[in-house]
Amino acid sequence: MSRDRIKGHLELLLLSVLRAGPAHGYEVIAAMKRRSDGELDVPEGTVYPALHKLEEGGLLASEWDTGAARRRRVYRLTPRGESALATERSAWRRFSAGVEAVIAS
Amino acid sequence: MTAPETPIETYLDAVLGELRGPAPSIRRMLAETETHLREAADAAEADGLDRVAAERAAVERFGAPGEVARAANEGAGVRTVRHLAVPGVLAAVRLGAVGLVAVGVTGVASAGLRAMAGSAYVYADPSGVRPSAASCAHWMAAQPAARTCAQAAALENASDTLLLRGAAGILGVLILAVLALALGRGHGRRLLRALPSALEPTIGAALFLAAGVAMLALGLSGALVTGAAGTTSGAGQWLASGVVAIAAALAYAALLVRRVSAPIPAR
Repeated sequence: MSRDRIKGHLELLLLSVLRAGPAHGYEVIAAMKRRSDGELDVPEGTVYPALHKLEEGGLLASEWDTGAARRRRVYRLTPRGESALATERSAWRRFSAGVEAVIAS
Repeated sequence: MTAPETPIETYLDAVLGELRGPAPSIRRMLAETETHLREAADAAEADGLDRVAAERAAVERFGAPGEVARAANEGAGVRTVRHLAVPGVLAAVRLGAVGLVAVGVTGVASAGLRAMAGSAYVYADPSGVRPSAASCAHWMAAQPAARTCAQAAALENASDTLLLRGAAGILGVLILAVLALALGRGHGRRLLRALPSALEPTIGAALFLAAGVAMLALGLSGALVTGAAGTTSGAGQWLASGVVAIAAALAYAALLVRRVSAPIPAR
């Protein structure tokens, strides 16, 4: 999938991955690749600013996890993030069903 | 001898060189980048790559330093040239409109000085200027109260100056009113916040000061040079305009002082 096409949907993808539970950036990116069979391939470094932006918007919260060998920033969905995810997901489903209906005909 | 930089260290240096914004944002981005790259390199090494190749692969997947830093800078609220273009143009238009208002005020100030010092001092052509006969005839016809061509030219100049400068002033007020309506709240207000608050008053003070000094110099030299020949043609107009420009420069300077001494708003 082209990187440009992912750009507008990166936030929805990140919220969706974090719905499974708190994770640090590396895990989030790995989960996104794994779930999409490698189809969703973004420059990994651009994921962190997207996570920061979601946190600034109150959709995620994060804290340093110093328990591991390396200090990691762990992100989790906030209640506001949960409801934003639900809204965005149904909007995406309506949109993709519309696109699918058009290109299938 | 120090050990050569590893691909990850070289990459971190490159990103750090491009990151802008508050120190905590930069520190956090760099810490997360390092952790990510080391974990990715560990995983690649476990898959059989040697350490250097594993680090290179991790760095490559992370993205070009410039691209990553740009995304981080935008997230940290750092403004790029693209973000500053529209507010910059708006601020320039506002400065221009203030300039038009100042021109209008100089028209009024010149008229005020004329009442005190006479038309010739404010509006007459410099003494070396010899208008054509056709111009003289036109001015004499338009100003029947004048007895000489020079008087007619000064009177004509007086009415034209007041009219044109007055129109410029009114146009400036209209532009400022439109800008105030558009930028006074919501999106417009946020738009102008992208510029450093000291920028507009600094430029305004500098421009008006330069213009004021230049016009006062012209007025004073005109008064001295032509005064020796028995006339003081037109010097008053420069002096009145110079005083108005200096007053505008002082107003901008006062605004600048107020802005730089105001407490920095929380992000």
